[in-house]
Amino acid sequence: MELLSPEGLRIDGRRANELRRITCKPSVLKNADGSAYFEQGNTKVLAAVYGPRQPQLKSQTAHDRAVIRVEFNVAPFSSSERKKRSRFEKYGNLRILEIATSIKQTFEPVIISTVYPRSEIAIYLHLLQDDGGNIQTCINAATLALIDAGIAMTDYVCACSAGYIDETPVLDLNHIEESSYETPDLTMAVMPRSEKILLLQMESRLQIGRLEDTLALAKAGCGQIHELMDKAVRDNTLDLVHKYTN
Amino acid sequence: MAPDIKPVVLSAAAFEKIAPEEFYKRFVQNNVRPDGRSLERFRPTSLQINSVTTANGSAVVRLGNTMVVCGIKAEVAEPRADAPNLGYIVPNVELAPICSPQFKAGPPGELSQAIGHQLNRILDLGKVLKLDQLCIEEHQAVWCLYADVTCLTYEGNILDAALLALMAALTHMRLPQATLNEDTGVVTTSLTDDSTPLVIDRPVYAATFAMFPDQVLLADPTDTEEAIAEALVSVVLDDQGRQCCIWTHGTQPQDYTRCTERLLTLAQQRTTTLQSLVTANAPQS
Repeated sequence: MELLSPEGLRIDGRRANELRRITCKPSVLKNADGSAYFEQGNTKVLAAVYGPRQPQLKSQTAHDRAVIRVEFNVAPFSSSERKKRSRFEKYGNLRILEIATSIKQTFEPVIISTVYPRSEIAIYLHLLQDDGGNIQTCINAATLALIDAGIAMTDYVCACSAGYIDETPVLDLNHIEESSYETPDLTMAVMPRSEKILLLQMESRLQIGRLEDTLALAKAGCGQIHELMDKAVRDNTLDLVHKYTN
Repeated sequence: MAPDIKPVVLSAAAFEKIAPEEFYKRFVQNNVRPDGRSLERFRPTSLQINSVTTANGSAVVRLGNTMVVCGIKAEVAEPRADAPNLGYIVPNVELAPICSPQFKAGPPGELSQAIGHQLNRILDLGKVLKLDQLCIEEHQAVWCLYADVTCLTYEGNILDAALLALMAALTHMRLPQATLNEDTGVVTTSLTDDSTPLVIDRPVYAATFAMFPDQVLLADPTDTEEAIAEALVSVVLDDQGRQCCIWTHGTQPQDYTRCTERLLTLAQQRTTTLQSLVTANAPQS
């Protein structure tokens, strides 16, 4: 399949360094302490944050800091092939556990957990529709939900993916590009202000000389996402201020 | 001089926590509920069709603060030997911890299993649609519709919301065209514009009521109302107002029949509203 047309356009009509359309909205769920909806192209994620609260499991308590829990849930109708609903697959699905763990490890250095000793911060992520780039969308949604919950953090966490198609570095891969065997792709999460990298995942082969370009492109993508997220947070806060003052 | 004893003044929130029954009684005496609704009023209900494009049909239902998504995926399956031309519909309800702190992560809890089973019974007993329209080739291949209802925020009355989402998704879903290759036994599917929607013979909708002492009926109870109600009654009616199922949990008041009449009238009105909501919300093309 032709992933990049001779004119340099991708399968969904984007340019190589163009993000998919992003819609994000904090404070969408009433029951959660913080929540956010994040849509990146056709990938849709809902995040809810509960906490800091009393840990549900006594054994998972730390006396000097908050424990972070991440649950990642994939709706059965989210992808083009329905996930089989056997017990083994659903609760022992290693891929899902792996994603949850990597998201947890991404947020552990950013959340100032020492201000909430003996408590738990639970992040629930729900993938409603999957069109590639689940991890990045989940991380972005979780950041907005954590900010909405008022959890102390040192910075935003913005994630983006990038890959390489036919000698061209491309930003923000969709499902078709991601599932093609020849396309190497990496996911990166950064703190935009200090530009520190929190997560870098790549599970395919990439020529070492091309790594630099791909990283730079992913980082630029993170910067763009940061602006959008910051705007969403500011708009939401202003909206709240207006509601309280009027 | 006697010590100055001040009466204890409780905030409304503290009063609700300490004595929820008494708190509700005070409200009900004034014919109003803590969320501002009158006793027999349902929460504002809205519907969005086919917003999940990876599913064959989907619906998002908001019932006040209860929000559910129903997504239907169609898969090719083998029919049962005793019913060679009938397809399957498998409803399933998921109450993940995202929707309320009261639900734990892990295998499905009692409530979600019970509601899933109820939906199954409604589809089966209510003769909602004929399963032979899901047949691709007799004895060989039929459609299996997996209807997964996921709750996003939970504030009580999950049955009404789940059934409405299921009905809306079924009404507006489209099955791909499927043909069985006799030689290879492989089913090929294609989604074209002229693929026919399902024929729903008997759309059914639920209306749930909470019964309180002195024959007080609260329509569309929230989770706090469900917890302190004496009994919960769920009435499932079709679009003509004919009864399909009635479930009651808890203790019945003594003159139950008088209540039932009122309850059925309210349920009939509710069904008409929901039916027009589903038909008015044609999918965004």
